[in-house]
Amino acid sequence: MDTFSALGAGLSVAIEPMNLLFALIGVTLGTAVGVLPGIGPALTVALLLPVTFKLDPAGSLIMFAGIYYGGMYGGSTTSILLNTPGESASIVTALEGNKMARAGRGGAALATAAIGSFVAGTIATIGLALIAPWVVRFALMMGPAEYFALMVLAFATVSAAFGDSTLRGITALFIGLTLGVVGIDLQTGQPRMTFGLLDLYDGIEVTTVAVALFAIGETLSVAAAGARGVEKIESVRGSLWMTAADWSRSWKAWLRGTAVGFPIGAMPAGGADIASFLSYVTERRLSKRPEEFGHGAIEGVAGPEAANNASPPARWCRS
Amino acid sequence: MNDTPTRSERRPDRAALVIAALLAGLAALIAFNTHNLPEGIASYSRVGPRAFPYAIAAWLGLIALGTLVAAWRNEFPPREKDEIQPIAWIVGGLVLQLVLIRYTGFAFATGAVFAATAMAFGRGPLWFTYAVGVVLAMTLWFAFATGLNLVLPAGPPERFVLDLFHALIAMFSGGGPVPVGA
Repeated sequence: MDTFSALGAGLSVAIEPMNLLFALIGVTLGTAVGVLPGIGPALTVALLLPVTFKLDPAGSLIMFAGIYYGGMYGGSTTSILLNTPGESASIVTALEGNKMARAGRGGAALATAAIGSFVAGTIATIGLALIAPWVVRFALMMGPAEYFALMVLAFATVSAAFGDSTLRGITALFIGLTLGVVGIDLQTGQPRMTFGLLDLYDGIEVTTVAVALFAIGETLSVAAAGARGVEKIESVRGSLWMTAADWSRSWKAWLRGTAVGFPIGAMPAGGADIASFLSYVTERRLSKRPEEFGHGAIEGVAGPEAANNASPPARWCRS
Repeated sequence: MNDTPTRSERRPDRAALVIAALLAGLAALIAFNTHNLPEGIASYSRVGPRAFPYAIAAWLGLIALGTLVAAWRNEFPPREKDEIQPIAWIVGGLVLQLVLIRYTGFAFATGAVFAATAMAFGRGPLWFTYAVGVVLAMTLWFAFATGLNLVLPAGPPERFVLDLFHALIAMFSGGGPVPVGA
């Protein structure tokens, strides 16, 4: 139980008022920068690096963690309110979250994302302390074949689950893979599909694709609708709090999201994005109201958000 | 898109045919590009940098066939009618920004997208929305440059504003010149 006394000591440092203040500042800054479309948590931390220079090590670590989680939450916020995911892990959040916001339930969507992130992050941290050695051993047992299988599972479920046509799902999947091929091959350094253009050597960033597909696509769709779809702007109206029904539908999704996200985060190359995709598919399959998916199902926000927050602590245990 | 409500049941879906052709073209492009990869260091391995592009090209070819069949049988769900004009405005604005940003910097190029998009949604006049767009974009550029040290593409106008800012700081602090990028 050494790990627990260490955790306890860490916690007692963390709840010193000054450190709580640093955490608050970090989360606030992180959220403020993270809501800018196209700026994910990693970039947020990089941008705000200078802010933490003057702090002692504990304080700056705490502020960093705050900035990181704030940045992640900021990404979820733009996904939900603007349908513009800031990074690949919150693409799934945009699917259901934005529909919820349009139905005037933006408050509940933001709440379930925030609380789900907290629950999953906490459980994953405790889990990290408890079972890190086993998780690492399990993760190291995964060979290339297992990764390949996992990738195929993720891709197949994603293309089968999104939308109602398998043909179009697979089409989208392979167009995405095509975009992924562009750039330098990670294994051999061979440039592929670059046509000799230096700008393409780094590949095409997920952010670029996400903004192009979600933000610009949304704009074009709304503009092209013309007189057909006169949409009114939905402010975050209604209660900001979740109703009892929301809670009862969310908590299982949080736990399932954590269960999906934690092991996947522990695997090298398994990231928050795969975790969130798998969690979305799981929720869709298990939901008692599958017809709500695609129209703002709260499980579709709660699960993936929990999953993408459960994976970073597990990531730390492999690094 | 050729989508009209009077589309007869038997006629193939022309838009989907175009999509099938594009997919086939993409498959051919990938296959051709991969075929032309220089024989590199990795040729000792059967699963090298060529394996996946070929697999993707093959799948895209299959998908193109599937789309072709679906288009022939008219299996795609009916689409809503899109208006071309707003799309043309927005795409035109984006292209204009791409061209301009190299010469005029962020603010004046982004103003063009802003004005074109406003036009697409039926708001004008152009000179007014352009001015608003430029001011907004300049504010954004300035906030990024000074607040986050993230310098978006700058042109003469941006550099002028930044110089002005530093000059003002120097004036009010009464001290010597402020180092650039401080």
